[in-house]
Amino acid sequence: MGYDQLNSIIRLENISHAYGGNKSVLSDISLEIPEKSFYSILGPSGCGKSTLLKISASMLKPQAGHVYVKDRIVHSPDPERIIVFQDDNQLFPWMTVRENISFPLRLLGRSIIDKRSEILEKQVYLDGYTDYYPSQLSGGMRKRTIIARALSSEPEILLLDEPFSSLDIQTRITLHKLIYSIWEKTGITVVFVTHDIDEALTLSSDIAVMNSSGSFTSIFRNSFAGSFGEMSIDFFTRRKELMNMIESPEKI
Amino acid sequence: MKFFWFLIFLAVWEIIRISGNFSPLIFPSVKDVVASLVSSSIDGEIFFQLLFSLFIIFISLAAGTVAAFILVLGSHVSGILDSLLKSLVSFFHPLPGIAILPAVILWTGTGIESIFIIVIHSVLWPMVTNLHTGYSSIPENYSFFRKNYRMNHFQMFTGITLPYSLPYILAGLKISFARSWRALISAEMIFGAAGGKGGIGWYIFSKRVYMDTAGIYAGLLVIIVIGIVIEELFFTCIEQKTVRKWGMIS
Repeated sequence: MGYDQLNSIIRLENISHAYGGNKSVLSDISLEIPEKSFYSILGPSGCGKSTLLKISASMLKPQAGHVYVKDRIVHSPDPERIIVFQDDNQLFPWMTVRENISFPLRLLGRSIIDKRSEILEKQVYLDGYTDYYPSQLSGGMRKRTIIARALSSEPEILLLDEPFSSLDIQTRITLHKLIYSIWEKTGITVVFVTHDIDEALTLSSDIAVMNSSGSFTSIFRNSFAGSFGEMSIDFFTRRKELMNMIESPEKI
Repeated sequence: MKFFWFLIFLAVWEIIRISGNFSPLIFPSVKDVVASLVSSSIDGEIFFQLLFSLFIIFISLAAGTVAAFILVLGSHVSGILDSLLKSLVSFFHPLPGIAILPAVILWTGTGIESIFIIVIHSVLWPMVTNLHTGYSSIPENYSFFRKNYRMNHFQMFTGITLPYSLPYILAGLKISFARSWRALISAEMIFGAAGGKGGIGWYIFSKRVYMDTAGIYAGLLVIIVIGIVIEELFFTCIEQKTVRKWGMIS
């Protein structure tokens, strides 16, 4: 396990939210995300987990409740909480891999830019593609560039919104291993939103299960983190349990 | 391929001329047209007129683009400006440049100012329309990125808005160039020479006055060549080196 602290880095307190006066997406949600954890929020589509992630990044202002980062209340986004979405169009097509990765460094006025970008490119195995434009890369490579760019400014927290769901299974597994090893090595806190039970089980140190009505049914430490390909009987038993938890019979 | 069809066209032209059914005043020989072109080139007249026309277009394209940017940025800051700009576009976009010429002459006389007004009118509205489309289609992800790194307005504009809008700017410039080039030539024909510099439109018009048919065709030929050079070579070249290379247009 990559962490042993019990301090929470993000604390959500009594969050409620609804879009445009409709039925509420989130009602009175509270959650503590431990520092240095790989924290997955697992739930069916439409349950409000992405909304919760946007609120955690302060990209969306909740109608009620507060977000705390290290016990300080936060209202606006900052470079310590970088959020990454699913779609590919987050990269800037007019910038090369290197320019995309180093863009945050330049924006934040960092002094060591090229060296840092070079290290990141190696870390995500893109060191041969420095001068490529996003349109020349495969989907997996684009995802790796997005991850490298998100890591470039060394944020404390990385918030990922189903980042790998559009990829084929082989590419996904490669990226799972990559993000897991980055998490292990850097001690960054990862908040990972997914609807994929296997993905949550193989990656996360902690899992919070959300049901379709947007409330947490179970929050637990996960013992299968980093178990790529070793799917034991226990794994399948756990998987079945989670499946039951997120399923909503009335919707099927 | 274009060159091949051009040669065919010349051959047909010569056949019609040699058949003798038309007056040489209507169908001058290719040789005469070329000779007129060469003599105008040697005394520099045609280049001088051309440079003058292109200079006006260039200044107006630049001014129109900057003005369009300011208007579009303004319309994203204020709702009232946005509604005003949309209405202005729907009023003036359909108006051909040449149609407002009589009114413009009343305001500013027949000087170079009125040519500028006509040409800027031809540039501004298509540019505003295109930039507006580009600006409104900036992906939501970019705005999340901007908030995440707390980019200021200047960083956002130079780092994201401007390069993102480039395909729209180029498309706008192409339409603007086509419109302004046509408006300019028409305006020049009506105005005549202002201080000896009437532009290529005036060049053609003055050739008609002296019944120098070969000269008229020489002027037309020059307009065609300029059109090809700018619309196909210049814009294509910029596109290849930017938006096409980046995969922003296919």
